[in-house]
Amino acid sequence: MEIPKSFLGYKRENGRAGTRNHVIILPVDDISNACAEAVANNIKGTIALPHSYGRLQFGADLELHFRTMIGTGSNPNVAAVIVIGIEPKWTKKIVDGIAKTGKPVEGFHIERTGDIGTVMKASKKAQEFVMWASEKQREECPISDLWISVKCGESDTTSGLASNPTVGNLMDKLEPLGVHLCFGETSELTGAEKVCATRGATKEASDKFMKTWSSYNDFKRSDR
Amino acid sequence: MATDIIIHDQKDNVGVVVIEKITPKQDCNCWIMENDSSTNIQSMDEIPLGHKIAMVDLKEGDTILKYGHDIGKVVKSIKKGEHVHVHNVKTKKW
Amino acid sequence: MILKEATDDLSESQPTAGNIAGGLTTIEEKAFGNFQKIGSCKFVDVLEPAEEPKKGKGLYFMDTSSAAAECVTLQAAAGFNIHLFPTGQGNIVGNPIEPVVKLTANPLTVKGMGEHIDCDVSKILSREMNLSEAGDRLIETTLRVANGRLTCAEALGHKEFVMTKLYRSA
Repeated sequence: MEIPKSFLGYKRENGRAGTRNHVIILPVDDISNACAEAVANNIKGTIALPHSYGRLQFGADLELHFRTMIGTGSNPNVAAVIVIGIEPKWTKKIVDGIAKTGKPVEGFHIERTGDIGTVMKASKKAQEFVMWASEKQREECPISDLWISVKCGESDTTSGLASNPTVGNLMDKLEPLGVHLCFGETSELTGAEKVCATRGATKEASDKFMKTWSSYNDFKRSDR
Repeated sequence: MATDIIIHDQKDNVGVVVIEKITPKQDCNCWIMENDSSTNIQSMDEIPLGHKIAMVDLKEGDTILKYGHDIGKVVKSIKKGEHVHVHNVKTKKW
Repeated sequence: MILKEATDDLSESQPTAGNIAGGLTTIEEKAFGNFQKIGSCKFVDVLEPAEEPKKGKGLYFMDTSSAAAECVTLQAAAGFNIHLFPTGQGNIVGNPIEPVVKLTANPLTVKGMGEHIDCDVSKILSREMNLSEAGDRLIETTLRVANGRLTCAEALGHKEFVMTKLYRSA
């Protein structure tokens, strides 16, 4: 089969391309979910991304929280973002992180305004964003603009026999075309970790993999 | 000829049932993916889709090879053609 | 405090009850099956959870949980714009921003829960389809979804967004 050299995607301000054109309402923390969902309910074509965390986190866990929030808003499948948090500081940190992509983003904090006032302000901005995004058209993008992640689940022996190797076959065919690819699942490489480590493109990559796998394994065993 | 069992690697001592199930005393066609060769085996048990069959006699402490790699140890001896699963094989990791 | 749940025995969750029902016996067997997903590619770098790749094109390994929604959420946060999800017994996960394309080779899963399967490669087992043909079919499905076709998970409203929590908050 001749592999197509392009796909139809949404070109973003930072040069990336999206396969979707979402306007998201991103709560910074658990207690801002209600507000985010109310905005998404008011403004058609937006989606809220409620979740359970974002309060009193610290250290590496807090860093991961910010990285996930900012990364989600920055994803090229997202056209524009409304960020809603209880406090101004963390809300602004996430807005500033997403703003680096050049996409429209605006933050709202609930403290001293309350849910109803915040929903009203955020809804007005969300309406503006979604109407702006609705005019975006798909354009021809090189296939190298695809960033493909993989992960398997509810696996059985047919996974290892056929569906996982099918993904492997796709990787072998698309990797030379310049796509980005990503696999994960540290715990589910247990037993194959040494073989996996040999697949590092450099010694640094192999060593880094073994270090990552070992620290997961040590964490799991640390009460012994 | 339809394939009943697929074996990943020439070195493997187990194969995977790829039809809805095999029944006791069924003569099964096996395909070895690695070198595109064929072999046969008679089953001893009923074995459902996706489950493994022993290609040789295995005794306690033996290593199960699949994908050409160690995937665990035999904890209860297994005869050629029998069902291989959690009742007779255990991980070496814990 | 945070390591109270630590254990060297994951036998309750690795493999899962679903994995075992599907014939997977040990974590090692599951791992070698899992590993088939990268074909013959080599990974250029190892990423922290949700870390954006910085070394250009190619394959990356990311340190993630193996729980579906947690893993996909982290990969989406790293900037990945389309996801491929092979399943055996039938996982149903989706993500709010990254379309999740599901494929299976298990004919019973296609029969029983076909509304979740974007790409059926079950003919590999009956050897009516070879791996290269299956790979081509998956490329075709992936591009259709990239061009805008809804995935099964999108049509069914799956938008699992699950943050990874490393330890208890203060």
